[in-house]
Amino acid sequence: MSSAREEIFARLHKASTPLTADTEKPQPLVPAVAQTTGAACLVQFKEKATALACTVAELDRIQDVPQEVTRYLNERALPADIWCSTEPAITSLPWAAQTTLTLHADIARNKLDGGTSVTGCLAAVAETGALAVASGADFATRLGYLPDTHIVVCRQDQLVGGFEDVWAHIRQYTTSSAVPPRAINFIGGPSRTGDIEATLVMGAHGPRAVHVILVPATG
Amino acid sequence: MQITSDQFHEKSAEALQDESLAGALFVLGKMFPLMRETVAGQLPEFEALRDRARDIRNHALDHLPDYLDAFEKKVIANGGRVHWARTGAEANRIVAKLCKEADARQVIKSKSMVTEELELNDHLEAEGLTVTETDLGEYIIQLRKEKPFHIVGPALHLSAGQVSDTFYEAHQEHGRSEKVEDKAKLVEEARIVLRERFKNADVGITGANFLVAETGQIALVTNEGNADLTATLPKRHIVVTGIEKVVPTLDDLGVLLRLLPRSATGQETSNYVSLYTGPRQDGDGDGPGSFDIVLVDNGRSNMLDSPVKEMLRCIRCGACLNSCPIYGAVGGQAYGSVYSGPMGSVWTPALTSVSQAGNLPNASTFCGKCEEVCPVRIPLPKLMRHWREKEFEQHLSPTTARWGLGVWTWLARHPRSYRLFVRLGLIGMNVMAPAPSQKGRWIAKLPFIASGWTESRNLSAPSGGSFLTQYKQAQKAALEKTGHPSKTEGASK
Repeated sequence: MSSAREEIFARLHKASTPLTADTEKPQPLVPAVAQTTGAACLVQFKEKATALACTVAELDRIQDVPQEVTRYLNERALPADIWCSTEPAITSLPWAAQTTLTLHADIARNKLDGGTSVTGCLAAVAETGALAVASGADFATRLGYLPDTHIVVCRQDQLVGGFEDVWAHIRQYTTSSAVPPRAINFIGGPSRTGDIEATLVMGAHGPRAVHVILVPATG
Repeated sequence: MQITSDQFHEKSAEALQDESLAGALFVLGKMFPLMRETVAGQLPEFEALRDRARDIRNHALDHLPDYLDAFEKKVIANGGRVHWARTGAEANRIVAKLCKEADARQVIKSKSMVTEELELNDHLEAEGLTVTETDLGEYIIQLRKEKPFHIVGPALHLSAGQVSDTFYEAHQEHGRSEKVEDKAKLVEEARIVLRERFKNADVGITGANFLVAETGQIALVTNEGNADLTATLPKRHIVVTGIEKVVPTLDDLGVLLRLLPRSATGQETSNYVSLYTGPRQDGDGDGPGSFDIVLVDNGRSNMLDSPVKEMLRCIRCGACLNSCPIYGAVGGQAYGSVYSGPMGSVWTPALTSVSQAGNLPNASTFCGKCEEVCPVRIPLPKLMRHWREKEFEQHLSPTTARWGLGVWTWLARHPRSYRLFVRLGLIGMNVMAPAPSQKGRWIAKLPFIASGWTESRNLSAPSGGSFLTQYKQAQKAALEKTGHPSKTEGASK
């Protein structure tokens, strides 16, 4: 008895043509909205992120991030407990100066549920206003999903035009035969649903609020 | 796939009497097309992207075994496993076995039309597993034991009141004793219940919107974020999807990601767009210990070798449902298949048979709106016509329809008889119509097989003779006026 794979492939081969070096492939097409750079990229990102119901703050110095986190939590009367990713850009910030903030290291699902996370990101995408994050040793995917509030710190040099810029990042792995991160997530604002009477309701499964803190480029 | 499409007439008659459904369909049919049009208008490259998307999907299908093979190799290199299923039953057995291997008891799922097609939940439950859908709409219809009403909005036919009743009954065991009708509160209630399920689940099952051959990754698109929790929290992640979902490269994925949300819900982007590569990696803070992809054929390889091949381009956006006047009148439940609307009218006979699902390709006015909005330009009316032809060839269409077509064919070939028939018909219809009122002349009741037409509406009485008579008169008038028989007005375009 032939295997399922063999049988399926036999039928597919009958109805298809082999791919050769000469086979013409559709050329990529990237819309202009995904190709902004520089100042226009920043303006567009802020506009699109806001349209996705993110809040955006711009700081002059990355050292002011802890202060901004405190301000944001106070303004919304949220508990001063935060769960940070272990990315060096986040752990190296002057958290100790914020005496009211408590940093938690335990990201067990019951702990993180309903809390506030503070993370970095891989990229901020001007095309859509979404933040791209990649899983890894210093970033657990759940940080972007289990908390009620997700605060994302983004350096201006992490602003990119569109999806293709993130594909380039993934290709850095694949071209060297390395395995790309387990998860690449584009987070476009707070979670939402329109499943009851097509009415938009925020906070379906993931965070109810996403706050972006833009900081200057390094170096 | 179990279908009840043979009851389309009865179910659509019921649906037409349902006033709350009419309200839901009105909103759906107005709001989504309008939002789609708005965001499409804001993207200058929208039409060019549709051409490209069509080409990408065609290219992938033309070389499907090569791209599936490349995808499989990458998945394995990334630490995942690939399983092939010829039929729905085989896919269900594979998924059940994977769950058993993990000693799983609790399974959570994010929305997947393929698993609806396979009736995977029933199978897993029969194996003793508890399965919870986490997309809000899917969760609601799971509690109500219904089929999806719409491929994107499975519960859009229900009012908040109906959802409230369903939750009130289902959530008492979770200590929810208050009956709420406010939509935000209903969403919150589901969030609280489902969050606990997420935390305790052993296995997470998702579909895949796309498979990327270049990298071996799967792409998932949601607004709720439930697919990401499903793919991240449990010990195992199982992906169940159709073999046709593969695209060659990330760049191709980019093209489709720009069309899918715009076509589906009129959004520039879905709130969560994710790529999953494999199981948890060394040092990762979280993620499942295993990553299995079940690739389902279930009739697709036969479709590839058939006149409805183009249907395999479908990216499940639902735009054709939203724009269809038939779907907009009767809704998804009447179709008796998890795939409804124009796309369902082509898929369903392909996955079952034209004898079981022949009603569906007939449930179309051929207005062409579905093809007009399809992001991958599937010629849906042409493909529905193919099934109608099959139905006729196999002598499955109703006797009256066959008889009527026979008469028409004969008349069309015999012009003299045709003209006589038209003349007699006009006389007959004029006899049936009463004297003109302020609202014009209307026939209230037609005899014999034509009576169906006047059951729920009047027919406008004929005026001014047949087309041929009017054409001849116009020609004659033109000759008298200009000296030569010019093209008449109306016929000049």
